[in-house]
Amino acid sequence: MVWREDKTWAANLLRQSLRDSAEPCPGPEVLAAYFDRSLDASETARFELHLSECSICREHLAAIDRADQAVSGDRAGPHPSSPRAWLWDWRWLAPATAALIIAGVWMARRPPPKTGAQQQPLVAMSQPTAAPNALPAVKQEPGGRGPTTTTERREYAHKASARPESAGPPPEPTANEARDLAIGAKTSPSNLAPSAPAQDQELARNRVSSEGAQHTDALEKKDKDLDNRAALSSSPASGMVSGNAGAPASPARPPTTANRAERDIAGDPATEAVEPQSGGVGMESRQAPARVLDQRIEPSSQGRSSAVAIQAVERRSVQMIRTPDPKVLWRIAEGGFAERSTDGGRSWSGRLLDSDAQLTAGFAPSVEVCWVVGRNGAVFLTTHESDWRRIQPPINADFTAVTAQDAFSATITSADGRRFVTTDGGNHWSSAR
Amino acid sequence: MAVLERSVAHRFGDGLPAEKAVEEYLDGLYAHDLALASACSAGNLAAWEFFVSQFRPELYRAARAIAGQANSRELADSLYGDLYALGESDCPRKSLFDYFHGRSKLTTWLRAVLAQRHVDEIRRTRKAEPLEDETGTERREINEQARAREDSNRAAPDTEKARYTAALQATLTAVLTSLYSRDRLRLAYYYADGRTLAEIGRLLGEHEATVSRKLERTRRDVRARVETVLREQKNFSDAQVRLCFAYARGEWPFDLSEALRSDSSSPKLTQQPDVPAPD
Repeated sequence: MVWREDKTWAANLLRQSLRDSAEPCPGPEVLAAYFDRSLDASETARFELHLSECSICREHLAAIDRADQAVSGDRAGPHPSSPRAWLWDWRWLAPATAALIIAGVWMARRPPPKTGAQQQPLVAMSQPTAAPNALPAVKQEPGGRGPTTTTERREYAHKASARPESAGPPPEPTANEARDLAIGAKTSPSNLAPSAPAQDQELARNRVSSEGAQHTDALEKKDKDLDNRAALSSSPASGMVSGNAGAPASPARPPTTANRAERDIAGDPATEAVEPQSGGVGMESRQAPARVLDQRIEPSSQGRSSAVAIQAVERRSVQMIRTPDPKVLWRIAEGGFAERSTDGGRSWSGRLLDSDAQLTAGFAPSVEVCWVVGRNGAVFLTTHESDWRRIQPPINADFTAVTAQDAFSATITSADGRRFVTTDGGNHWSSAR
Repeated sequence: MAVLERSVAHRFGDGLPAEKAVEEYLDGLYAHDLALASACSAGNLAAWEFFVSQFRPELYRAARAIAGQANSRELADSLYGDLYALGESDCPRKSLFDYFHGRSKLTTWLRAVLAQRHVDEIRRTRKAEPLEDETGTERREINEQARAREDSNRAAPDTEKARYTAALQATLTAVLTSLYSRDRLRLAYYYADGRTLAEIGRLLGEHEATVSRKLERTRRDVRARVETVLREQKNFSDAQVRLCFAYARGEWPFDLSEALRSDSSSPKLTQQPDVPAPD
């Protein structure tokens, strides 16, 4: 228990003496770095001196601490004040958990109790009476590398299981084969040991073939997952790690019809100019994949400007919504944002409709009116460029499409295909056939 | 690379830093967070999606902790929009991510921005009227000053009292200036902000017992230095020094029970302070 001493003379005088400093306060960068203990010694001392004189910065720091405590408390588990909070007290939980783990490991590793009949060991220490069941020789890569790919391992394992008895004793495994067997096929000791009884060899062979096949299957699946992940990561995210968003890392893919228009885009990346299309009155933007573009173009083959422009259009753009005026565009983006451009996409201004909303589609029957729908019953309407309002949906469902004639008449479509119509700006809805 | 150059330039300014200093600085950066912020600022869709999925929930949770349930949504939405770089039609877009230089974790930096915005807004709306802050320090000061004025009106005026208290105040201010910054900060947290030892420990990265021990040591040092200065520089006698402290204690009555209400683990003190009675 900590005692607070009654130093009356100090308390008030110190409070009077530690007045606010006139020095300017540092920005959040320094504040956050101090909180994370990232400042060097001299910076820390300098900032602490300022802190001691600045109640504002101390308030900032205390607020950060509150937020940190709140987030840490959410992650830690039940609230400390709950009746069973003592269960989560690390002071007894940690050693108890460690003891349980040690006990579990000991139980798992202790030898099984011996029964009446002594079990035959799988590995015989004497000289073999017959040749071991070794896998057939595998073509050695230069440098003696054994099978490494999953296909090769699968072939290896299948050969082991399919080897006929009439083929005669297989050759003894080389050192590399023995190593690869141990790595790739969860080999039982009998496969590596040069001496094993024939019966155990049969058992071992079966075990190796099944385990090897299972293991190669698992490895093959893992390789496929890695391949898929690599394919998915051939995306802007691949440039994220290096901090260079303008460098596509994936190989080029052939252009498709759907994105040829975007491929033709040229211009400064900051402008994001979009070619106006004729007949684009009230065009509906259907639900499209999250990424507008799948195509990646090698800068060397297509020119840097196209690649940069494509990446610029990619930026935060989930849905582009056209209006009767080619220069006026809307777009909805990840995170619940809706933006409008009046210069053909060169500059945008927007609003946060709802940070929890996942917007999926929009329709703009005029330059000032735009309907936007999304998941979980999200329906928004603006009639004056940026004055958005949320519309009560007919049902709480995921909406995937919307069409409209004006600010009053619109039709929205849910993910399960149901359609609803309004003629009074969303005050009332009716089912449409 | 441009992001790193910008971060180094922000840290070292126009000067030519030593190579070792730059190297140490770069080693200490939170590179992943910096890359994410840079990609989001550049408009990278995947980066923004990652930020929305990983950081947005924490952002709103932190806003709730800082501003309370009522104001958290507005606070967080405002920052969220600035991070996205919602621009006006005629103004170039600039994301708030451009101000993140990787010296801290991105989550901490977001909390710092939230905290500054919230506190600045609170202070702005306060204006001249002293409102109750979180520790009640200002309200206590006002009450104490009012009480002191009433007492002084009732008591007989002492012309020497003002001289002694002014001398003590000036000496104390000078002594505090000479303290190490961390010791001074510890005193500020404890006396100016009224924080508990546990809170101070968390803010400074020290154990609660360490905070208590160092506070006591600092108080002792400050008192010793103040007495030395009063005796040697202002030529006060022992009696006069004691009178200074007595006047200091009596001038601003201080009820420790209020200060202890936030530290419920501490018992109320009944012992007398170890200040010798004046002659």
